[in-house]
Order: sequence, then C-alpha cells, then structure tokens
Amino acid sequence: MQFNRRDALKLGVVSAAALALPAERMARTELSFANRLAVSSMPPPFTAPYVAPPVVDLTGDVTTDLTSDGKPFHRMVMSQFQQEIIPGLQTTVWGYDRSVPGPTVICKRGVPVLMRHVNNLPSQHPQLGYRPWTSVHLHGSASLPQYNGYASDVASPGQYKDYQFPNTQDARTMWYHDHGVHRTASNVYMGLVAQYHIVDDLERSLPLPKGTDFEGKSYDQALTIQDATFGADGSLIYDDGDQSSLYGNVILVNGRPWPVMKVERRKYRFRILNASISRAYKLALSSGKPFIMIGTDGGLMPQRQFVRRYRHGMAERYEVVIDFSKYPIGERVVLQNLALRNNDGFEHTNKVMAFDVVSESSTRRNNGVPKLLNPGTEVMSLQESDASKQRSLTFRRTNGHWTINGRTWADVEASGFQETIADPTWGDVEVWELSNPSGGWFHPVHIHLVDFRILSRNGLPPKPWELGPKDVVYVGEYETVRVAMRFGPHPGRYMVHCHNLVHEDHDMMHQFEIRRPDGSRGDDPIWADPPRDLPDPPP
Amino acid sequence: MSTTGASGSAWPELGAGAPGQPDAPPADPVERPALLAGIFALSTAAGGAHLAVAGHGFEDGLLYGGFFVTVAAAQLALAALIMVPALRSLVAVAGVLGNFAVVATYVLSRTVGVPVGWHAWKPEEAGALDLSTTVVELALIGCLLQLVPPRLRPWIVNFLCVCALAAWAWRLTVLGS
Repeated sequence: MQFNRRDALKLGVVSAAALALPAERMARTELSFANRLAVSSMPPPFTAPYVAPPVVDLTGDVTTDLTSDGKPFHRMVMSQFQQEIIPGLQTTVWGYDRSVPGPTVICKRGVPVLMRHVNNLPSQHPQLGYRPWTSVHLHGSASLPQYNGYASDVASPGQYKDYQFPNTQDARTMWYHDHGVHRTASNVYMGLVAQYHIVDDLERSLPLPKGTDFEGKSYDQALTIQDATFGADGSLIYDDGDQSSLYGNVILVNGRPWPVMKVERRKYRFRILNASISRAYKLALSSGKPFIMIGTDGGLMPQRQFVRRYRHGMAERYEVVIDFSKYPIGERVVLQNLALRNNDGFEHTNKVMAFDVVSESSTRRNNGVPKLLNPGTEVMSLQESDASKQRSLTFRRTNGHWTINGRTWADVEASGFQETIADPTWGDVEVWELSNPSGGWFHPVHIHLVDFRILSRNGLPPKPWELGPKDVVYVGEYETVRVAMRFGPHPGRYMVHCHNLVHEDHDMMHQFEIRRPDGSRGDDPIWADPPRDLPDPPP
Repeated sequence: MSTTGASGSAWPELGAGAPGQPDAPPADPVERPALLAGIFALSTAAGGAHLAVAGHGFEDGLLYGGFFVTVAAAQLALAALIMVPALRSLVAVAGVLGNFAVVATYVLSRTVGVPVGWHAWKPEEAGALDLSTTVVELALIGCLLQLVPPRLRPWIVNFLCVCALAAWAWRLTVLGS
C-alpha cells in the first residue's frame, strides 16, 4: 500500500516537528556559542612566550614579614582584575595577588608560615552572578582541619582568614586553590590556583636541576596547565555540560596559551600541575624520548623512572626532568597531549607547549638525576599487611548525582557536618579500595591530609609514574585502585572527593573523621578558627 | 490473514478505508519483502541505539535507564514480531504509536525537558546520535504505516499530524522566541 499525497504531507509535518524543534533549539544554543573566540582568532600555538609565575619566598632565607611570634607571614589578596591571556583581548579573572595563576609560594620544611587570605572579590561573579565565597585549600599539606580548606568553611567578600601552614612534610610540590562549596569549579576556572613548594635539605643536597639559565630563568620550573574557552571579547566562558564536565579549547600553561620556552642544552626540572577543571592529559614529548620522572604529589619518588608517556589527571603533580642535551640547538620539542578516553578534544588540545633549544648550557652544575631520590619515606614502605582495616569507596553517578558510596556532600550538610564515610583511628594504616564502575567517566580521587601509596590498579602493579607518594589517584573507566595510608598527623574531619571539580561541586564529595585512640575528636573544621570581617589587624 | 496479492484485487490502493468503503487488508508484504527488511533493519538500529545509551541512562537514574531498556526491547521485539503474519497488523499499529511516543518524548526532552527525574524540565542538548535515531524512527513509522489496516490509517495519520501541529503551535506561542 502506498501513501497518497495528503498522507505524505501530514507525515512531513510530523517529521518536520520531530527534527526541526530539537535542531532549532540546538541552533539557538550554537548561536549562543557564536560569541566564542573563533579558532582563527586564537593565537597560533607556540607563539606566546613562556612566563613563570611570580614567587613569594617564605623560606626565611630572604627578608619577609613576620608574625608577632616570628613566623613568616604573607597577606594574599583575592581580587578581580583584567589580564591579557589572548593577545589583544582583556579577560576578567580572579587571582591571588593579581596574578593568574597566583604566585608560587616557596617554604622551607620545618618553618611554619601564616598565610592571610583576603577575599576582596566582587559581590557577584561577572557572568554566573553568584556570591563568591571562598575556602583556600593547600592541597598536599597536612594542615589542621580548620586550615585545610574545608568546603563549607567559607569566607565571603569582605572577609579574611588566617591559615596556619605547618610545612612539616618532605619537600614536595603542592598547590593552593579555592575549595568553596558548590563553587570550586567556577572559582578555580576564574583563576584561583597556584603552586606552593616545600624545599628541604635532602632535596637541596641532590644534584637535581636548579640555578638559573641565560635568561635568568630557573632550571626548576613550575608548570600549571589549564584549559579554558574564551568569548570573542576575551571573557571566560563557563560551560560545564549540564554539570558533567568542562573542557576548554585553549590549553594554558602558567596563564599563556600554548607557550614556547627557550631552553639550554641541559636538564630542566618541571613541576607539572594539572589544574584543569575536568581535562586529563596524556603527556609525551614529540621526539619520543622519555621523561625522567622524579616526583609525585607527595614529593620525590624513591627512585627515578623513565616514562615515554603518562596519564596526568586533574590535581595530580608530577615532577619530570627533560634532558635537552639530547637535542641540537635549533630543535623544537613539543609537549604533546595524546588522546585519553572521555576527554573532549578540539583543534589544538593535542598539544600543550613547546621548548626551543637555543644555546649550550650555562653551567654544568646541578645537571643530574640520581637513581635514588628519597628511598626512605614511610608511606612508600606501607604494605597491605600493615592495614588494620579495609574500606571500599565507589564513585558513581546515581540518580543524576555524582556520589561516593551513594552519598554526597548534601548528606554531610544535612547531618550538621557530622556524617562520615570512614572513621579511621589516628595513627592506623588502612587500605581503601577506590572503584569506578562506569565506562563514561573517570574520577581523579583526592584524599585530604594524607599521602598514600598505590598498591594496585585493577589487580596489577601501579604504573611506573605512580611509584611515589600520592594524594590524588586517577580512577579510570572500570578501574579499581587500592591505596594504603596512615591516618594522621591530626585528628579531625577531612574531605575525600573527585577532583573533576564539576563532579565535586555536584556533589561527589564526602568526609572521613580521624579520632584519637581514646575516641576524642580533633578541631572543628568550621568553627575552630572561622573567617573574620575586614579590616584585618596586624598579624 | 489472506495471502492473496493485492494487485488486481478489489481493494483500492489509494484512499482505502475512507468512510463508506469496505475495510481492506494491507498490501501483502510477501510481495514487498524490501518493506519487511526495511522495518527489521530500522527497528533493530533504533533498538540498538537505545540499548547503547542505556548504561548512561542508569547512571542518571533507574527511571532513565529503565526507559531506554524498555524502548530498546520493544523496538527489537517489533523487528522480530513484524515477521509473524498473524500479528503484523497489530504490531504495525503498536509500532507506529509506540515509536511516535518515543519521538514525542525525545522532542520534549530537547525543547523543554521531560517532566520527571533529575533532568525534570531541563532541556538536553540535541546530538548527532539522537537526531539520527529520530530519523530512523520516523522512517520506521512511515514503513509501518503501510502495514496498518486501511480503515485505521487515516485516523492514525491525522492523529500524528494534529500532535505535530500542536507542537509547532506550542513552540510558536507558549515557548516564544
């Protein structure tokens, strides 16, 4: 039986409605994207010169402000300002001390510091319109609960908070970033992110790259990688894909799009932080030569590792040495981003930055990488048998929420911040099994306060680049990762969450509480030392 | 069901089922194997597409996952059952209405959002896979209509058309610009 003309016309009306209505809405959405910076207007990769962030030296080796009890002190102000990220355009950003990323803070192990973080942000986010409360998390630091950036311990515009950072741990690359509840992703996206290094005698005694090159640039560089999407007017566009993930089409290193760095023919140390909201990277050198991996989140690895490519999840820090003496003067080496599952790619997101080899080395000193680096750390000697308890944490999307064992931060809030997902005893070793049963997402899981050792990944040994102390672990699609850690040095409530910041905000975050063996509790993360109103007194 | 060929029979090919006319059986698909093959392929493709996204659906909730699995199962069942001559007319009518309901739900989800679940009244982005699947389902509806008993077909086509016109009117008035 055939259609007559009238039937065909009617079915045409049906088809038009079924296809045109969704397509029309999609077109309108595309129109709203039309104000995005066109690829043709983006700076070509490797044209922007590399820059290092400013440095705040609190080692005590240089003159600095001191508190009344003699601690190095720094007053750091969060504010909104304009920064030229895309050449010729001004971008409204939020930064620490008017820099995006903020200044790299350098401290010495054993020298505690007082950092005063002042929220001088405007009363509303320029596009999203929310009130920007903040909570500063020094990621990787064994800080007391009230100085750990507890998500609900927030300072509103016009307030400040004094953070005591103990700097008791081994030399390591940490970072500080905003952790304000439900606003972490957009606050970090606006620029509230920076590195923080602890140095110590062991690290200084090693002949690792240090000192400065022909441009006065350090052989020890902090690279903070982010991705972002810009409007045609230079504004940052926040699009988290219906609370799933945010993938920008511009790769930034220290706030510059795909920069190029001039290097000498020698070794350089790079402290690489992935500060992206949702993007993970698979990094490799265009030459195919290996990185010499020397450090992970918790500092130097027991021994160096050679890796040709590695997976770098959000919030992870990997310290690598690249030996540019392997290349002739005039050669360009590109730091590539190879494809990783469940990351949206754009035209130039397969590259990060470039290195141009331009001269011979200025010095032969501090140009080595010993095989053994820091073999004596307690965390890397932890064994499965040391654990007094094993726990399982499952990270999954349930009923449209990002959850941990089916629970969210909303449950913590509803309980008056008492609900916990684990209750380890101070000083105990536990093994946690972190699993992701989905093939649609990956979850870099961050456990606050502690360093851990990765015991296994899907029953296999950890990857070569993971053979160091960690505080974030990439739990990929259908992966189960077992980690061992000793709980301390402080009792109290600390967070555990996915470091895809969109997932964290909505609401894949919970907390554990460490109690002393006698059952007594640590400081309250919200009320022990809350933010105060400006003006602030002298330290 | 008769297997007598329609060609040369008393049953009119066009305008069948019009008031006052006798009820006519649909054209014999044995003479049009391509139609049956097309329905099988289209319904299997649509069912496969829904099955492929069911995993994500469950992560959004049992309601979403269950919906995708149910739709996939129904479309795969249709692909098989349409081959059974005794059920063909019934399956064709159910297939037209069922697939139309799926398409209508899709349009709702991509314009104002479905009314239940965590996406409630939150429109989702249209994508290549879902638009392609809708094209497949529309083609499937077109094929199945040819197997619907002629006395029902005008009513069903008119119903679909009225729904589509209502959707356009809603878009142009209530939803505005």
